[in-house]
Order: sequence, then C-alpha cells, then structure tokens
Amino acid sequence: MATGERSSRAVRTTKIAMLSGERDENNRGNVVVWVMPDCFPRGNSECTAPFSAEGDCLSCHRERDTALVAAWEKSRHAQAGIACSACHGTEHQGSMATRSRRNDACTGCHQRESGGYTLSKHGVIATLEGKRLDFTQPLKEGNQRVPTCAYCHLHAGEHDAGAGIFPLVPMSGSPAPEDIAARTEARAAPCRDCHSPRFVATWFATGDRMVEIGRMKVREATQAAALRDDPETRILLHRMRDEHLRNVRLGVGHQSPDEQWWHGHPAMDGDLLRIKSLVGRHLRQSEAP
Amino acid sequence: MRIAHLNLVAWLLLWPWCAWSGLPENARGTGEHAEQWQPDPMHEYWDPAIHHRPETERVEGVFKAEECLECHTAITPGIVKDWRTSRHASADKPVFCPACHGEDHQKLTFPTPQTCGGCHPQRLAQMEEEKKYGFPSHALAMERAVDSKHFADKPKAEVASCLQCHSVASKCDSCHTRHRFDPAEARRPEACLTCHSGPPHPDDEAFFASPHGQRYLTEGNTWDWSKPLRKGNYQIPTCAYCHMKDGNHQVADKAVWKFGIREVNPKTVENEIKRKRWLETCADCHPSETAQGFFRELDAERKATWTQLYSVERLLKVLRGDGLLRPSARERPPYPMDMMARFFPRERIGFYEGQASAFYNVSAIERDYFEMWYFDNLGAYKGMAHGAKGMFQRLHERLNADAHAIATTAERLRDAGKTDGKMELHPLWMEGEYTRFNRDHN
Repeated sequence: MATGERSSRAVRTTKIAMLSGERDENNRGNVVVWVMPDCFPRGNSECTAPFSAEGDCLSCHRERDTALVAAWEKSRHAQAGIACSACHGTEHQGSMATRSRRNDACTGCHQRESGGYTLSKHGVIATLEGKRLDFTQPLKEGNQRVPTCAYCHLHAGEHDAGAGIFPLVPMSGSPAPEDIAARTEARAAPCRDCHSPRFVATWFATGDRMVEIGRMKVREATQAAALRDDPETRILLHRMRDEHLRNVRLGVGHQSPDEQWWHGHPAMDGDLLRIKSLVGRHLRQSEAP
Repeated sequence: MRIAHLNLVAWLLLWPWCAWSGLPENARGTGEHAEQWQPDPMHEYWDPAIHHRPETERVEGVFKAEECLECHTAITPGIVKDWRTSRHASADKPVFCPACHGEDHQKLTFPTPQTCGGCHPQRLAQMEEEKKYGFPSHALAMERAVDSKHFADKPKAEVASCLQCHSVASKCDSCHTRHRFDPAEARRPEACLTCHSGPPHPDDEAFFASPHGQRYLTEGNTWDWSKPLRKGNYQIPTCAYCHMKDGNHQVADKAVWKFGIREVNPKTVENEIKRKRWLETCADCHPSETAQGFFRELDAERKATWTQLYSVERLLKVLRGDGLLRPSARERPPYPMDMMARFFPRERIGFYEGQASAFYNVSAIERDYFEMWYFDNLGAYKGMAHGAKGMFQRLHERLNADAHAIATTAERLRDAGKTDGKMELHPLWMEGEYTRFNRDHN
C-alpha cells in the first residue's frame, strides 16, 4: 500500500484532536489520533507493520476490546495523552502485552514513584527474578511470584490505570471520594492473590493511619507557619507536604519501610521543628525592644 | 551536696506520685517500656511469637498435609505457586503448610525463628549466638526497637515502619522470602537492601559504589547463586559473604565499630578478636598486609570523624549551658519515657545522653547535629568500611559543611540571645494537632 493511500484513509477515518486541545462530541479531551495500519483489515497475527506512536491501535481495538479501550479513555493516562504504544511499543509481533507487564514499561516515566518499590521485598524479588518471571501470563491470580507495577495498578488488565489504587483520602485533606468502598476493594484485590484478607485489611488500616499521622504533622506545621509568612518557611512546608508526606504514602503503598520512615516521618519531624524554630525566632525578634 | 544527690532525694520523695500518674491502664507492650504503650494491630505480623492473635472467625476445622492446598490454591494462588517451586515442596517428605502454621484453622500460627529452628537448628543456634555480642545484631533488633524511647513514645501506627525491618529478629522471611525461602535469593546483596538503605545506613549505596559492588553489578547476573558463600565460589564478596561468613547465620561476631553510632576503641581484646575474624575473611582474596592497611585507614577515619563530632557536641553543650537553646527543654514536650525530665528538663546532646530519641521536639540546631551524627557520620563510616572512596569523600565534605553551618548558627543564636525578647515559646511547641495526638496516643 502506498504511503499516500494510507494517509488519505487515515484522514478519512479519523478525527484528529490529540495535542491540539480539541474535544470530541462527548467533551473528552485528548482524543488520540489513529490511522489504519498497512496490514488492515488482515488478522491480528499477520499484522506486523509498526504502529505509530499516535495510536493506530484504536482502529481495531475499539471494536475488539471495547471495555478495555473505554477504561483507558477514563484513565489519567488518556487525560495526559499516554496512548497504547507508550507501554506496548509499536511492534505488533505477539510481545506487546508481555512488554507492558514488565516494570520497565512504567519506570521510564514513573521513576520517582518506583524508588520505594525497588527497595521493597516485592521490588527486590522482581529485580532478582526478572528473567524467571513469566510475563506471557496475564497479571492475575499469582501468575507472577511478585507484583510488578502493572500487577496492582492495572490488575487483571484494568486499563483505567490505578482506578482503585489511588489514595482513599486525597492529599489536600478534602473529603474522601464517594466510591470509597469500591476503591478499598479494588486496592485490596491484587494483594489477596497472595496475602490473607485479614493481613491486607490490617495493613491498609495501619497504612492509612500512618499517612493520616503525616497529615496531622503537615496541618500542625501549616498552622505554625501562618505566624510567619516568608520564603524559608514556605519552602520547608512545601518540602514537608509534597516530598516527605508523599514519601510516606508511596512507602505505605509500595511496602518500603525506608520510604515510610527515613524519607518520611522523621524527615517530616525535622521540617516541623525547623518551621517552629523559625517561627519562634520571628516571634522573639518582633518582641525585641 | 552535689546536684546529682539532690536529684536522687527529689526522685525518692516524688516517685509514689509518678507511679500514680498518667500511665495507660491497659498498656500491654513488651520490653522496658511495656507498661507505657500498646501495640498497633500490624504488630502481630512483625512479632508473631508475642503478638499474634489466631483467626477465630472464618474457617473451622483441622487440616493435614496437602488438605490446605485444596482451598488455598483458589484463595491465595500466589503463595501456593510459590511454595510449589520451593525445596519444601520438592523434598522427599514435603514440608506442607501445617508444619509451620499448625493444623487447626482456629489456632493457626505464624512461624518464628524457633519454628524454622525445628528443622534448621544450626541456623537458629547461630542467630541466637548473636545476642552475646549485643546490638547492632539481627537477633536483638526487635528488642532494641521496642525498647527505644521514641518507639514507646510515638503513635504506634507511625512507628509501624520500624517493625518491618526490626522483625528480622522475629521471623526468618526478612531474607528468605516466603513461600520459596530460596537461599540463592538471600545470598544476593539486594536481599539485604530493603532494610539496609536510607540515610543512617546507606549500605546499598556504599556496596554498589565500591569496587566489589561495581563488579557485582556488571557480572552478578551471570553467577551461579546456588553455590554456598565460600572461598573460591564467587569472584567478589556480597553482603552475606563477609557478614555471614561461610553461611554462619550471625552478623555480629565481627562488628567492631557498631554502625559508627558511637566511638569505640578498636584495640580492646574483644575488638582485636573481631578484627582477626575480619582479616581471615578478607584473606579469602587479599594478602594480610592489604587488609591490615585498610583497617588502619578505617580506624584513622573514625578517630578523625569523632574528633570533629565531639567538637560540635561541645559547642552545643556550651549553648545549652548558656540557655541559648530555644525552645529550652522546659518549653518543649518532655523527653520521651523519662519521668525525671518532667521535673529536671534537660536538652539531650550526644550519644550518651540518648540523642537517638532526640530527633523530634528539639530546636533546629539540635536536629542539625542529630543529622550530622546519624546521617552524615554513619554514611561516611559505611562508605569507608565498604571501600566506596567517592561516597566517603562526599560525606566527609558534608560533615565539614555541617560543622561549619552549626558553628554559624551557634554564633547567630548567641547574637540573637543578646537582642531578642524573652518570650515563652511554650504554646508554640506544646500545642498543635500532631503534638497533642502524640501525647495522647502512644
């Protein structure tokens, strides 16, 4: 098929909106550009042409995997313009799913989030057994010895990445989301492939309390910092909330004691006392004769 | 009469009042402060021998040998698959679930080192032997964690993070992960790094930056890890090769510098014996002269670092003497678990005053010194001890910068002491959501 033909079909069959900020008829932004691959409409297995990063994929998969594509469209990935090929690659040779199940499909973008996981027992085993873990199998029912990123965040092929995994209570302290029961269940399901329901429930409750205690520290610091509004306190407060509290959350979620503790709670203790020290000094200075 | 005597008299007069006041009635922790804290529900998983509560709700019945697998293949497929690939499953007489967990589903237990020691007595004995060397050691890790004042003081959900690592004393699966328990996994350095990482013990950074670790990173994946950690089996040592020589399951018999947290005399008889064990370990590959030279360098580095740390410590103690540490000990929550501190409050400076628990509710300059001692000093020690020259140099630069910054802050505090008002800082430091919660929920 000549390039010209392919392009014209692409134009004929697609609505190009991605990256232009244009919204589709359902008011969804970032609709992904898709064009027909050269081999269309031949069967999947014969389809070996490289697929462009813009996502030729949906031309077939919207019909073949309607629910999956619909889930992806709801996801934060879709909102950020992360389409199929970002995780699955562009070579349609039977290894697209295998490739996306590996940790390195995610860690390129999620380096910051993956640090604690890598140090956790799950991550250590994933590193050591990288070659022995069978990623040709779907990510469910303990098919792999340890969970990789996608095992939990896209459990059993759920393409709304992290639908149930995101924290039950948002960082800002705003009220818990309405679907909290569904989220709790979705968060626990992957763990129960290996761990007892009681262990999972107990750990989640403790983990949530550990994060909540972190939020208490932030609220106390925010209150103290209100007495002295200057760049130094603001930087400390920012670091406390966006770095150290975040470490506690990531540490809880990824089972990394190091993130929970040394990069989390005692680091927040340091932020809190430094903020109070600055405020205290300011109060004494303002009182000075 | 000396002040110490007055303190003693005051204490004798006041102790009945102290005993009567404010201790939680149902405290049922363990260790030195058992009366003053209650465990978090997760504690049962980290110290099952003491805190485990058997399942009493769901399944009833007594299950033998492979009977457990009938349900658990569907309920928890991951661990069943894992166990099936273990040596427990492939042994002539397989070790089925009840061997470690019991048969009665209402009285299930989690295996402790004693459980594993039933079949692996030599390993258990080696680990128990660690206790005679004191802390740091794996065998005493849990005891020392719950005995530390900040553990007893802080909310238990917060310090649940501590137990995940300190449970190395109360379970074997910290290194031999369940349910495969593969020695080949435990032999590799990554097996140690979940706990041996982070600011006070960056063993991961130190090892991987060292020539040993660099070699591991490039070649490690091609080696046969099923071989025991013995002379000639591996080209370079990993963590366990040196610290658990010949597979000896104890890590304390060579610990001269004790993590670097306090100054020690490396020339005591005990330490000379430990040093000899190190030299024997290094001798698997290095001539004795090389190894001895290395330890001389290490001792000199420690001496120099401690001289520097003590000079900063003295600076802080002078500030304390001049009343320039604000908030003063009177203005901040009392030192945890210390009744005396309620009557004779005193800022804790240095290892021998219990500074390990003084990383919160202290003034910024005290925290600066805590970080210098606990993060940068320990990191420098780890870098030096593992032969990671770049890391050790970087951390010594940081120690110098810390010393300079603390001296500058001390000057500023001295100047501020002359000009600033004398306002009480009590409300700022004693109130606040977390501070109140901590006071009420240890």
